[in-house]
Amino acid sequence: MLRKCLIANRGEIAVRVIRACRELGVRTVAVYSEADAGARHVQLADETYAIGPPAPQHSYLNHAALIEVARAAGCDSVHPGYGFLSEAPEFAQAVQAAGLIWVGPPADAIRRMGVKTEARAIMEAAGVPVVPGYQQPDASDEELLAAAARIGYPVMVKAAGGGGGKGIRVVREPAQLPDAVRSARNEAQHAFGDARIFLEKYIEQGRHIEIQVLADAHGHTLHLFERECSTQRRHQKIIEESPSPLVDAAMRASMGAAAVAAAEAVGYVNAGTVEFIATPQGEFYFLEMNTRLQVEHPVTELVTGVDLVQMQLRIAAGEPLPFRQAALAQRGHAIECRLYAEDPRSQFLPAIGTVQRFIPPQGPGVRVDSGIQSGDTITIHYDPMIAKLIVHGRDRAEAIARMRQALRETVILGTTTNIDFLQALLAHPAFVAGEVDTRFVDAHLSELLPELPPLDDFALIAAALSETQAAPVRGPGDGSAAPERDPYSPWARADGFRIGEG
Amino acid sequence: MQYRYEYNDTMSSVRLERLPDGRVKAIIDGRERVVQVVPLADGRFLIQDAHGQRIASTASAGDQRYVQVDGQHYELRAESASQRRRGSAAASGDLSAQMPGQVTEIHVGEGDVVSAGDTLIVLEAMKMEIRVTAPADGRVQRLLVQPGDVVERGQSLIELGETEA
Repeated sequence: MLRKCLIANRGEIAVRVIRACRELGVRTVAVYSEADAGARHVQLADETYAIGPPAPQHSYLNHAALIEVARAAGCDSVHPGYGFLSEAPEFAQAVQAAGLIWVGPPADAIRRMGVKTEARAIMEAAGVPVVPGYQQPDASDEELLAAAARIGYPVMVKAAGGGGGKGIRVVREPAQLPDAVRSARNEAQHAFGDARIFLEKYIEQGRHIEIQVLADAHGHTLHLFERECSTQRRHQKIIEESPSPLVDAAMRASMGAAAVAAAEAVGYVNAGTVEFIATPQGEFYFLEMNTRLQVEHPVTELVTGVDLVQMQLRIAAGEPLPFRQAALAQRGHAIECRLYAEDPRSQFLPAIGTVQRFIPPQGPGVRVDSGIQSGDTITIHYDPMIAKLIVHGRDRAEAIARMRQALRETVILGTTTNIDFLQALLAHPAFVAGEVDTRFVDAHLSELLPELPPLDDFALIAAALSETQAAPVRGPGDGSAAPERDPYSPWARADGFRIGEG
Repeated sequence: MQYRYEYNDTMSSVRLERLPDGRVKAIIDGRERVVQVVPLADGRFLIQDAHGQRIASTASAGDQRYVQVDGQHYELRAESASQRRRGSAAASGDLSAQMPGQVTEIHVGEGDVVSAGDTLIVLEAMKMEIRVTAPADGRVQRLLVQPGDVVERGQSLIELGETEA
């Protein structure tokens, strides 16, 4: 097993990795920026090192500083978490060049999956279905019509040099194609100075379904079934679950096989995720591979009983996978909700501020992966995700009910969060029916934004009670200039003790 | 003491009075509700009435008051002392105890100049701490109690007068 691991990350994922390391007897080294000196991941690790100013490029993205800490602390390994440097092949290479073990896939696999066109070609060669398309920049109308007929309508006309939705046309019948191609070329020329376009199958009501894979260094690759992440806003996942309500046993088996083939095609080792887009009819196409641990990995852990972070560490230490595909099964249903410090009623702007009080939910089948604690400040520097709530139930209905209760129990005071937006999503008939596609949230945003609830009498009474009990002593002068309570001060508490917390 | 809060562009007022039987009478925008209050740790209160009970969690930062009850989060803004000054001219007079209790702290002496919102006296009863604060800028004319005194509801505690110009 590894001896001592540097965790090149922050927040909840750093906490998650620390826990897995502890369970395996691996000593943990946390790094932190100036903004995170008091953060939870820093408090939980065995050793901690400051690595720079708050801006990620000067701290959590600073290759040299991270490797220097790993060396100075006598680490034998580096876990990158997700985000930051987890998919930076140069960093993976630099870690290995420094004689350290990279808890992740080979740099070459990261690189090949990172170039989307190359990944698509590798997948096609490996027999993994990719979204049907046609890429001949100087094709005539006749050739485009023939290609669209092969792909099957509706098709999307997309600008080759583009992005941001510019130059995209959805074409539902052949008669519309020549006009759509002409106007898309014009728009692309104006927007990008590049008139080249290509055709791609337009997936209506597309579902984001991904397969978790694990591969060891001894040639074994297997999958841990699917997660559905179709509930997303502007490509940002909000709710994830496993199993997917869309996937049946046959589809699961073929998606799993495709994901394993995808991983093997790039010589993948460690944990990774192959993302697909699926049609309501059950066809699926490769989107991309995330060559790291995913934010939503806990739903897979809850339904399979496999600790994915432990597996990452074991694989990195050279151990073979301790089970075969046939030993794996999905039990029950798991759902994850991402709690963000953001204001859904103000265009989801990040809500910075100090979390005065965080009381996570508890109970059977409830898991909270959180990187914050009461008193922490949500800054502009990092992702505004406060915590992940993950529940496990016997079936989907039980899991939804459990999540709704867990959200009701969650208390986050001091910053605005998306809790009631999550409640509205979970209660929506389309979500309950398991029919949410990737465009659903953006298309139904207005009905998903709950109005401010009427002010509860008990809330008013509680506010007044709080003025007399444990109210901050107001300074002289204008009462509005009352000093904020120092969350670290023992005098900030109403009582000298806590009841039943632990 | 009456508190005023802004929520969703609407002002609400609430005044709490401790009843002789220990329950709390809340007068909310003129409506009365009688509840039982059990203070819990960390700014939480168990509030009970005939329909049942709920836990309310509270925190504050500056004028902001954060409350969570029953799965709903509320962000209130407390009316500041300067707003109160504009709203009411009750600058002087005597301040009385809102509930029976014991005087635990006295923060001012006779002749002191105080500002609206300053804590003058702290009472304790039923494990609840009640801060008696200056309703407006003024000067302490007379202190009518001492630390340790047990006071009745409505008993005068302190006399405030206007500051000399």
